[in-house]
Amino acid sequence: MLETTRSYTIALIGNPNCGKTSLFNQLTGARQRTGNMAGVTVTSREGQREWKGVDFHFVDLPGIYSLANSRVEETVARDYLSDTPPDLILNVLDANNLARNFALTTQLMEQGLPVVIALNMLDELEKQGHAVDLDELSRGLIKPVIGSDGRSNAHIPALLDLLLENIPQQIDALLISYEPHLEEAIVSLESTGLERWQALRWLESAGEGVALQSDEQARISNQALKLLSSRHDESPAEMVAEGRYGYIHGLLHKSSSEHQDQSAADHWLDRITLNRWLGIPVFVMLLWLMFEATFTLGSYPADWIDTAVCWIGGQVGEWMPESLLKDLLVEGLIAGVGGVLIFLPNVVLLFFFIALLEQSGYMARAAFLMDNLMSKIGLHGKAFVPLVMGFGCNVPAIMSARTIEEPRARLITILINPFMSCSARLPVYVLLAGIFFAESAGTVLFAMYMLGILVAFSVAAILARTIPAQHDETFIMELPPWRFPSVRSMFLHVWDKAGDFLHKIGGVILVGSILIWLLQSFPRQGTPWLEQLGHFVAPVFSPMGFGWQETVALLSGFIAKEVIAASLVVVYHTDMSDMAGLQAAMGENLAPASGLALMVFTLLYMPCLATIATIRRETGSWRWAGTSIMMGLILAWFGSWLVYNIASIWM
Amino acid sequence: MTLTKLSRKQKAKIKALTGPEPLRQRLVALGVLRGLQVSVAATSLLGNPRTYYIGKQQICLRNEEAGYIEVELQP
Repeated sequence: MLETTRSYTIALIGNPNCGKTSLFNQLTGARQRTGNMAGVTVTSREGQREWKGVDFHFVDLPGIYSLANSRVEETVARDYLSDTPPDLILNVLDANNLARNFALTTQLMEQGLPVVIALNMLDELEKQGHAVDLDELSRGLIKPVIGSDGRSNAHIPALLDLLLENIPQQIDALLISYEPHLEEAIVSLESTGLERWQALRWLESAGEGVALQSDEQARISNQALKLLSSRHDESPAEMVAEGRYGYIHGLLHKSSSEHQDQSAADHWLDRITLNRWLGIPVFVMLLWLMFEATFTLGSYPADWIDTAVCWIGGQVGEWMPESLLKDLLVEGLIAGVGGVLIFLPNVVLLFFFIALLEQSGYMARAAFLMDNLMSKIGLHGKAFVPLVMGFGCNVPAIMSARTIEEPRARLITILINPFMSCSARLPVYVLLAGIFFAESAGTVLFAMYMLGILVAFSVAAILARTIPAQHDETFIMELPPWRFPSVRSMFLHVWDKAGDFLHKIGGVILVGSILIWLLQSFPRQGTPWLEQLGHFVAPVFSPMGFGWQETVALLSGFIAKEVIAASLVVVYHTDMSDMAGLQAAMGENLAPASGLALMVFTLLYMPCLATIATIRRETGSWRWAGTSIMMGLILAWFGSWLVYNIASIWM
Repeated sequence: MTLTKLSRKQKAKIKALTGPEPLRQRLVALGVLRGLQVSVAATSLLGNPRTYYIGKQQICLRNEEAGYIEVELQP
């Protein structure tokens, strides 16, 4: 390795929904990873690509509309550009809405940053009979402009060549002339030592986008801002935008065939999905279809995995000599890890459908439909989707809360998610309802899900009144045009999620399984620690009429809720296949009211280990993970106590 | 009149943005500017929020925010 390879960092910047991430996937393929930007939970992706002996390091920054606003994503992008300046910026634009997309470009160019411009989804525009003269545009901007498409890799080699040619880039900061009074303000800010672009950003953000260095600077700047505000009704932000759009329209007038504004977004799909009366029924039906497909389609591969796990367990059991190590492998590792592995197909399918909803543009429409209901509990329409996903599994549901921009709404959505009854709790309900309420098992089941939703919404309403709002919760959202999802992007997304899930199994669930096995197996003579623990903790649960068996089952459910049903089977010394025996044993030991209370406890008590780890990761602090545990335990205890006492009167 | 008063099938032009500074900045960043044509695109079940065609895009606004956008009717 005598030759040192050159390596360059390239940041992708663009508006939300401009197809930036699809293009990033085309550029980097599977060689990428998701990481959180320092200090905040806004994700950025990074990926590598080697091209003609050069290592490109791509960073996909969050989608933003402007560099001057104080939203989290915008601050992240701004800090990234100033703290670790990339060698080149690849500015991705949606060709169907060039004027709005160019507003961000002008900000980059005024700052004098090295920029290459990629017009995405040019084919869509051309299909509508419009054209953009890329050469003319490039001449006007004095920046390289290229057509691109996140759905095919035909443009990629030319794009990579263009990137290579532009490092380093000859830079002259773009100079737009603004309205005279605004220019006056810029000049007086410049006189204090600020650069022109800094002066502009300070003015358009009304004093937030740039940190001023001295009191003298602040005094002069505030004076200029005050003078400007007294002369105009419009805010400086509007005046700056008007100047930029003036420049942009002049530019597009020469190079683009469509310069008058018209609604290209108009589409027949919107007439159905956003219809005042049909919108919500269609949404509910789509969700039902999604879950139905997730669980029915997922059950086939789940069976295969189950068979494979059983086979491996059987083989190990047969060929290994009787030993402690064998017990650990078969009863601890293979049973525990295998028991969770069977959910992989469900998780993958659920993520596939959710990616489909997201990339097609439907998610934003669902958020619009549900906003009114959600606003009653201090949340956005966008929060509804992660809640519904919680019925499948809380872990991906909580991760999907990333789509909510406002930090407080996101936090509330995360914290109430465990109350949405996940699929792992279903076996417990089915088991207990079958034993105690055989005639009305369906109603009891439905009541559990409804209770979960009720508790989630109540907790959200309380949290919304206690957690301080970090900034005002305006619900302004662009509805992206309908799009056909890119196959490659979908595949990479699902691949990524499957990887996350397997990673979880290899970590938290592996360790948890070993732990439970140890407690169940030691000491070798006498009462196992797990049973001792059950007896020790049982008094806490005696007000609900639970015995040590239920106590142990609930404790083991902390690892994963699937374990609760299995634990009950084990501690009552019956076989999974011998349901009648288990029913008789439990029916004898437990009052029906206790059975109901046990279901309620299972529904509400602390999230499983994986969910807690996810809450910790997504909120960035153990404090909220701890809050979630405490909240769940307290609600579960009082909830089931209440249910036990009320039910005892009736039954 | 404000954008909330605009009914379906009416067309209007944005006359002014009012309201708190962060809201105005946010609207401006989304390309909601004076002089653009607007019309109602969709209404939710209870009438809030609504979506509007503003320029070339469809934007969802709650009535609380739409009330800060002054418009004048176009023939």
